[in-house]
Amino acid sequence: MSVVVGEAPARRRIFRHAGLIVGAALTALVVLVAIVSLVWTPQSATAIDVAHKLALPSAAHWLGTDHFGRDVASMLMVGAQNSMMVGIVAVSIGVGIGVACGLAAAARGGWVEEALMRLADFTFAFPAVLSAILITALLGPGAFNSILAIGIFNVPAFARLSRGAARGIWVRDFILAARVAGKGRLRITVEHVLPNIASLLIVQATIQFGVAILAEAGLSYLGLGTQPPNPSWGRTLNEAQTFLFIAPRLAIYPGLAIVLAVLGLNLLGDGLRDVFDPRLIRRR
Amino acid sequence: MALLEVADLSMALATARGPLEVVRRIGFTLDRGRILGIVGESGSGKTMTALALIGLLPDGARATGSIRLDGRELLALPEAALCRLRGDRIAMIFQEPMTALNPLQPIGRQVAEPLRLHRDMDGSAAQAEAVRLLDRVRLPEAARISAAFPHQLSGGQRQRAMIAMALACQPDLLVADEPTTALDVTLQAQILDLLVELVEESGMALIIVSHDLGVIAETADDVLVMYGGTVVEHAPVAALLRHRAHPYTQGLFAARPRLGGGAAPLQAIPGTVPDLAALPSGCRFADRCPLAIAACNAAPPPMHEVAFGHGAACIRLDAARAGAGA
Amino acid sequence: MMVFLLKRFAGFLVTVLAATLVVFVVLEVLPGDPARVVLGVEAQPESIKALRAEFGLDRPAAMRYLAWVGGLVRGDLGLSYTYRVPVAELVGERLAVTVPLALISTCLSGILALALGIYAAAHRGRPGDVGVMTVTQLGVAVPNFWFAILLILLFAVYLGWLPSGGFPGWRAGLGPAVKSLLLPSLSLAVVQAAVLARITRAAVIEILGEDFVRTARAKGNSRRRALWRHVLRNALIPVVTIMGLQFSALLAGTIIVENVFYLPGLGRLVFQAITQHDLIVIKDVVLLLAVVVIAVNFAVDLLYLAIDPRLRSRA
Repeated sequence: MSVVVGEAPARRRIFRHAGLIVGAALTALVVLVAIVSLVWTPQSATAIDVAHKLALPSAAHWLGTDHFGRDVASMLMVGAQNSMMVGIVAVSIGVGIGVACGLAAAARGGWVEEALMRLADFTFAFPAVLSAILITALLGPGAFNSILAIGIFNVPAFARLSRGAARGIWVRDFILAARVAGKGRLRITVEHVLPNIASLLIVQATIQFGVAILAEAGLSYLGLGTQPPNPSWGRTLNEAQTFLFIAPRLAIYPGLAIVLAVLGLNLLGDGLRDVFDPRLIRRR
Repeated sequence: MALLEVADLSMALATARGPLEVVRRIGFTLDRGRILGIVGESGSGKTMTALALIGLLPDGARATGSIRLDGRELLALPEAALCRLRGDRIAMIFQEPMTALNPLQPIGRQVAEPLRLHRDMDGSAAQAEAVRLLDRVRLPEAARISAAFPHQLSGGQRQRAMIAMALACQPDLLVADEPTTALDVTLQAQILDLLVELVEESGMALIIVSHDLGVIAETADDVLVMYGGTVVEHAPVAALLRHRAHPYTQGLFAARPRLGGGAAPLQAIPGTVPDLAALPSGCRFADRCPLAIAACNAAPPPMHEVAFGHGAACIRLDAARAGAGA
Repeated sequence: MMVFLLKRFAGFLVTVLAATLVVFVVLEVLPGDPARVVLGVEAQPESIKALRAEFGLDRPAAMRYLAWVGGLVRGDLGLSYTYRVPVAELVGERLAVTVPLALISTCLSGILALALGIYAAAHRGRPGDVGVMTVTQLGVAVPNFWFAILLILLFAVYLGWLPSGGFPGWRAGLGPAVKSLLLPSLSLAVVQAAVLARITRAAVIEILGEDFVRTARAKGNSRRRALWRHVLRNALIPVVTIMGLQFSALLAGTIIVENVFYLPGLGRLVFQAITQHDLIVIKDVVLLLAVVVIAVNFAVDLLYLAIDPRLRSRA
């Protein structure tokens, strides 16, 4: 008499790699669009042509035009540029400063570490978007300030992450061996700790990239991000809301763009996480 | 009729490379009031066997053959019927008392749970019985322990609590998977004595799975020696202590360090446990066996009766007897 | 135990105090001249002087800080520069919208997330789980304001069942008021739920692999019973943590969502105040929001004590 208990796990693996592939493809697509838009867009992204406002999709205007007659497709393409830039710079700020702080905290230990982490924890008490709004409002709206604000909020996140991971490495035996051999903390951090946490950082950076895009879209929606005439997905969405009853399609395109970009990045991040840490594969 | 009759039991795990046979055609019987010891290294399939008895094989595992409890075939039972048996007719205790108890529930509640599940007892009656059970397993201040949480108990206390939990519904069969491995030596003896005492008192059958020969020798009535997913030798423990028939069992006994044995090097069995993905088609011990010949790799060796109730699966038993010198 | 609780409460107060310091420094000290900030770059020197006198800006910063904090404790939040009404009144009005919004969203997202997360964990690897993971993966990528717009499109534009914005006030009746909060709550809840559901699923799966679950099955618990009686309470610990952390994100979300739906709530108030440079309102509301987040996290800490007896022993 035979009995089969449970499912065969072999099928799961196909799904796992699908995520990474789809994520990489979507991300690559958005990046490609952003790069292409630097040299070419179907129409001008900023040219106003009120005579042809709110047009339906056609050969000339692939996604139609908005209430000013601007070509939606071109606007979205240039918007991709904007989102990519925000993501890269904001995450770089977060990684650059945050990881440095976190690694320093883990290497130094003692009150420095305690103080830095309390500071990081404290910043989490202030709703990030609110503070980003504050910063942009006080410094003045605009792409640069919103990137700065979002970047500032990536710092505590990366600081905590890298400190936690670094601590786990510092207690390992091979670090002890390096210290016994006389290596200084800085060298150990750079040569041993950093490479070991690199994969974790890469995964988190990919995810934070998506978070940054969402945050920038929110700020732009509120009017605090990229200013006209430079297109941004969030602001396009805001403008479309006024015409929701007349041309609902205008509200769908920018949102889809945001979702595709962030989805791609999240899938990529999750996929990379599975690739880097095989232990996790069994857990999923 | 024996309480437990296992015949032709094989188990395969589903892996990425296809099904992996972890246990191949084992069989044994167990009567009420008897203690069976299953001994083997890691990877011998002994834990799988234990899990198969209680029906808790990991997802993706497939069991074929027959396991009969009081004549009732267990492998064919639907999950709901198995749930009724578990904790009631068959109970199991596990290796790590630290992690085997729910950290958020008081001990008494966990011990009383089988009573609520199978005997339909209400809260207070079950609680009272739980205290009595904790007392029976020699936990002092049973009432206080009943209200305590697992993290407030020591390892030995937790294992006793696990035993109390297993005994709650007076099972016919108790399976203990490495019950003392995580405990230190003095506690080991106490727990084993407790188990033997409980068997004598209640007449239930006990299966102890262990890699520790000493534990098995002290406690069991009969022994099953497993290697590479098969039974290589089975015997009453007294007989096994007198004379080992199978080359693996001989190697196992010879490998034990002896107190006061001088500075003689430990006799290890060369080689390693077979990779389950690349199992030989013949005798699984052949590549490590000092007595192996070509025929050993041809087919799995049949079980030979060495003496009454004592069997070994080997075609080189005569050579083994000569080598061992009894 | 009492000592532990008192220590924690003291910590809470210290954090709140630190928050007041940070808000004050960032908003009044850093920008330089608050009066200039309020009036803008083109302000006339006379107006600035008048405003400085009104705000009492000739007093040293420390004095102003203490006066402000003292006022807060008394419930006097000062006068809004833009509206010339006590801030306390403004805040009170707006709370009547934001609090129900936050509560409804939190409840909705909690229920949805727990249900989905537990279902996915229990059906791990099977179509149900894959479905939940796909949907939540999408949900995490959706901006809440876009989801809000889509909801408006469906329920207000096409179906006409619900209003596309605005709040009639509680005096207009429970029905209309709740109706106007429904879409906003949904847009906040659904996106939050996606994040939470994934975390719940991970937590439950982790616990399902623990030894004591095997013990529970060995006692005769079915998979479902083992899940409800043994796994859930243990899984609550990481889930509650994340819900506490998410609260801060929820508040941030209300700012945006209140703008999408033109709801007269706290989020909209602070946003308008920021664009109008109404420093007094900004200071008070930002602090209020920060204190709420700190309080929620404090409550979560206390909740741990209730859930996990191991922490109670250590306390």
